[in-house]
Amino acid sequence: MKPKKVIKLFLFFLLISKGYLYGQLPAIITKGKITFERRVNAYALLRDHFDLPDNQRFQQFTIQYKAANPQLHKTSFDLYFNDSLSFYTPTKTEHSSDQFIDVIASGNSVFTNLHTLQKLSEKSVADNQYIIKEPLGKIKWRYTNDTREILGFHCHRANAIILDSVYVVAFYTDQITSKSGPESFWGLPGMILQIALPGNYIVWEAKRVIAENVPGADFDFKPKGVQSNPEALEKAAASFLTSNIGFALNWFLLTTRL
Amino acid sequence: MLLFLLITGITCGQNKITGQLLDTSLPLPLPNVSACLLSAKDSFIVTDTRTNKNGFFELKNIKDGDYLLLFTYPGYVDLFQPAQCKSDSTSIINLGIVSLMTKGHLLADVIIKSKSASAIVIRGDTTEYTADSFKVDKNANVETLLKQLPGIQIDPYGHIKGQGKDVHKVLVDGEEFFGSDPLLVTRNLRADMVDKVQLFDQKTDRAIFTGIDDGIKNKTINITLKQNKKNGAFGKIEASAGTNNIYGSRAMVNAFKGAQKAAAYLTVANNGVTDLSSSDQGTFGSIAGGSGQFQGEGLPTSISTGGHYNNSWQHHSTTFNGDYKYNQLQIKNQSSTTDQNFLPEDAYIITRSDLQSHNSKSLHLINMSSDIKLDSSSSLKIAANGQLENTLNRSNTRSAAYNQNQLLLNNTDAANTNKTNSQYLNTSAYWTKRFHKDKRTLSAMVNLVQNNRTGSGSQNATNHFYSTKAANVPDSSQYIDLIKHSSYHLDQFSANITYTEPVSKSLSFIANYGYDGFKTRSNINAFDQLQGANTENIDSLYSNHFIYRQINNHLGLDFSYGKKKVLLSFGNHFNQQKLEQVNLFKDSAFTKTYLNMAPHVNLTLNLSSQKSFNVHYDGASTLPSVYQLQPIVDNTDPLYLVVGNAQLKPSFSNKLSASYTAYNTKSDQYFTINMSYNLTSHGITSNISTDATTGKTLMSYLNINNRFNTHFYSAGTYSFGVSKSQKLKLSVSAEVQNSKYFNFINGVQNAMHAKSYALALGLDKTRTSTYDFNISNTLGYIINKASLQNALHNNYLQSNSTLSFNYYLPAHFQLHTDLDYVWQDKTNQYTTSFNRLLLNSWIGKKFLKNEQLLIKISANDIFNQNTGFSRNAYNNIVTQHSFLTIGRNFGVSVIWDFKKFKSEK
Repeated sequence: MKPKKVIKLFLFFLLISKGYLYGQLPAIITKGKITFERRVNAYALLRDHFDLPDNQRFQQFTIQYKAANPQLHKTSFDLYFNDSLSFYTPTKTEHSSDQFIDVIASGNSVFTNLHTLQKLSEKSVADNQYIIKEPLGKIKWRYTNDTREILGFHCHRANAIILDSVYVVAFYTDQITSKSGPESFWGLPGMILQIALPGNYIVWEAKRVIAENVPGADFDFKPKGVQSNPEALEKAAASFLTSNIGFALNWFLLTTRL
Repeated sequence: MLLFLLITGITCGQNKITGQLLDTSLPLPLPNVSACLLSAKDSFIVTDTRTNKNGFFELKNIKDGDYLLLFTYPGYVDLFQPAQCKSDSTSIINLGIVSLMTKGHLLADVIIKSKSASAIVIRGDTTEYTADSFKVDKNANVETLLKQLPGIQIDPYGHIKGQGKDVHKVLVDGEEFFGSDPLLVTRNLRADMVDKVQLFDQKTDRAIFTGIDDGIKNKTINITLKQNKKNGAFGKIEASAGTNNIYGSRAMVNAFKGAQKAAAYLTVANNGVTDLSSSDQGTFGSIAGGSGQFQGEGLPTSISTGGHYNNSWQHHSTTFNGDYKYNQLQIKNQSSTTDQNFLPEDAYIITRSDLQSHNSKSLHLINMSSDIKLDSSSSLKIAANGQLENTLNRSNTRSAAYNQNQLLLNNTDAANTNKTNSQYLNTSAYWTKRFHKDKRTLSAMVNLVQNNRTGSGSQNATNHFYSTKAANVPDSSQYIDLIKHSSYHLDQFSANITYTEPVSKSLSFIANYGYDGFKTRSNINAFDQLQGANTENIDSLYSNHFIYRQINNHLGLDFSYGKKKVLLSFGNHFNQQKLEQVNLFKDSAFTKTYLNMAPHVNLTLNLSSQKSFNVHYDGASTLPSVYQLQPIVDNTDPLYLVVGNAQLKPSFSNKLSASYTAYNTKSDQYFTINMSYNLTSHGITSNISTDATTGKTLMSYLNINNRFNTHFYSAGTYSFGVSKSQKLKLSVSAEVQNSKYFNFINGVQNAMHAKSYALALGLDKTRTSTYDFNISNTLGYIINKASLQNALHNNYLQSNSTLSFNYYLPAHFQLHTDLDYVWQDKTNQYTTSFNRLLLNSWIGKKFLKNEQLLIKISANDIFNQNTGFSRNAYNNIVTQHSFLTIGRNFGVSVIWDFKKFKSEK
């Protein structure tokens, strides 16, 4: 090979190697917006709790629901985040209620301050809105060696038990520095991109991540409704359920606590 | 390209952890590295933070305890660092330079990234495959699963090769199954029961026990079963019927319950399928070529059945493993042979013979072994093996011999029958004790063998010898009409004691003493019927009565050195052998005492987890056998007599061999090359003298003292994936042999020189959608030269091609074809070239819910070319042989797979 060619090749390799080092390192994301899809396995919920052979009404309801709705009930949420705040809210598009899953605490909005460790949420039971202000509860996460790729982000798995008995599996990425996630899940070394309650038919999964400056206006949360607290909300949900279906189905009570 | 994270000065004091993270290749501090504190015991996340723009991090208010620090950054492999916090300690833990590989680099060296997590993982010398990551048909057996695993190859007969080396043992959950015969595991067990397949180098029992590696390794596969497949039953029932009265049926049933495994099988067939296993096939030459398929001569009819049971108790401290097998085999044969015997000065004798035979055998076999852990440092293993065998052979032979001028020299007409009955028992016990000091061990072994065999039969022959002066005029005749009764009895006792002691951390020595003594008594009483029918006079010419005793004492001293990548072992063994043979008929005896030694050196270099180099020297003496020293005159063939030589000395052979193996998991490439050179001095060789007028041959034995017999062998294989998406693999092998061997013909020294070169190419495609195939071709060139006989100068080309092809059609139909084509060029002796094409094909359809039932129509040997033909050359005798085999046949078969597992939730 001619010397000139050799030098040219060497410089070329040097350039692209430098390029790899400087230009191709994955970028750390500190603020942006993530769109999550929340999926509830409605059929499984019906099968496990409404499959009472001697209850005609439940049987009827199950058949009617299945005829009009798909197995997985999907809703979309946006999570705005920066280094200290995060705001989780349903995506601003019209979607009709399915008269079952959407009745209680299905379209929660949660505003979290990771510096003061306080959260402010707006939750609904039937047509009534409730505003809850409470401190962020500490979640004891257990780190595991399992990993998964979500939207091109390399995620680690961590497990936890919340509310004494609810098992949670979360995948988080250290590439996004915010320690937040959907609903009021928080506390991992990075952003939660996927979280599931395996025994409770719900999973949230990130569908789109946009790294951008989030204007303060996006964090401007003015919740509507009645000032309340978690116990009162749960009681309201329980009484609504009892009067409508005859018993307080735990699944719905759980969604008021998330 | 490597990206390094540098961690300096982690301090843990006053309940605070600080440190700095750098990238050494730039070197720049890295901001935003996630530093996470986990509790060491249960991995709970205690707290976490990110490094600042200067790469510093600080974790505050840490309680006393044991922790793991986890550092992660996108594109880097996670780093775990233990940290212990004690409020009274202010010690600085300086980690120095810690290099982290980028994920791309790590994967290239060690783990294969696949759709499911870690389908293949390498730990040390063990490659572990997760079975579910490899797709196979619903009712596929383990053999089909193994074919999919990179690094494992299976030939059409079921022989397994792992990373280029032969695999002779397949274990199930660490235990032997039906004597660990590979085929009984791979063709019996279902692929969907398998959790992991482990391919590893099994050390010798002694090396495992003493902890001192002697460098000997056997490639072994261990199949671990899924938890929910440890309880249940499964098996297969097959039946087939076809033209030419060919039929076959087989049933295999297995029942597993945790550590208990029981299995049984029954085969009744005359289509060549004798037994599942390749072992214990008894006396009829090559009965099974290792595939459970009859590859001998003649038409076989067989019944075989067997059972297996193994279990373990008290957390595996006591195990039991037992097998019983029964085999009944009958073979009918008709064959013709042409022998050409080359003599000095271009003379030769051609003998043509025709044989008809009917042989039958029945064999009972029982095997038992048990491992007992006596206490934490000692264990005992006892084993027993017993066999009962009955055989009956009947044959008729007609032959005629002519010289180079087509002149008839002799002819024979003979009929023989023989019936035998034998019992065999082998028991052994092996005790081992480990002492407190590492690698100090003591082991002892005791073994007893007893074998009894009685037989009776008749021998009839008429031999005519012709004059060379007038054609076809008998010169003399010999008549034989004998009834023979024989008995044979063997008693053997051997004991062995081994002591190992560590000299230093990497050097140990092994001292070993062994005693082996046996006595045999052999008696043949022949009654010459020509003296009068049912005479009671024992004919002295054809009868004999021998007692033979042999005592061996053996002392060995070996050293073993193992450090990092080097393993060196060397030593010497001293042997003393005393032989004594007493001839009770002639009231004579002779004794011989031999003293010899066997030195050895072995060096293994483990260059990396997948590359190793080995060089090895062995010296060993070969004693003349009692047959060569003082043979029992065997007159079953009066035209071929053997005379012993009591002056024979042992020969000594030096063998030097070297091998190199390299395997790359990521690209599934492997390369292996080995060579060996063997030099033998004072070789024991034969002196064949043939009388040119009568055609009678006399064979005796001599030492070659002025020449060395040499043998050089080298072989290499390279295999790699041609296309990953198409799952196509190519392999290339080459083999070279060169040997020089001396013998005597009519008292004159003759040098035999043989060289061969072979090149083989193989292409293998695993199923992606509708088809899979396997093609291979071996091309060889053979050169044979003999100094005394120019006519034996023989160079020829030969080629062997095999193809196996499967085509999967819709609606669960499958078409299978396999062919085997052999071609041999003509030579100086074989004036026509030889070629043969064997083509088999079947078409089948799967029925039932889980494709459990397969019905197929098959055609075997479509061109009817399996006429039973072989060519052979040994010393100065060249043979061409044809025999009966199962010819072309068509048939229908039904195969049903069943399984029922209790799932454990």
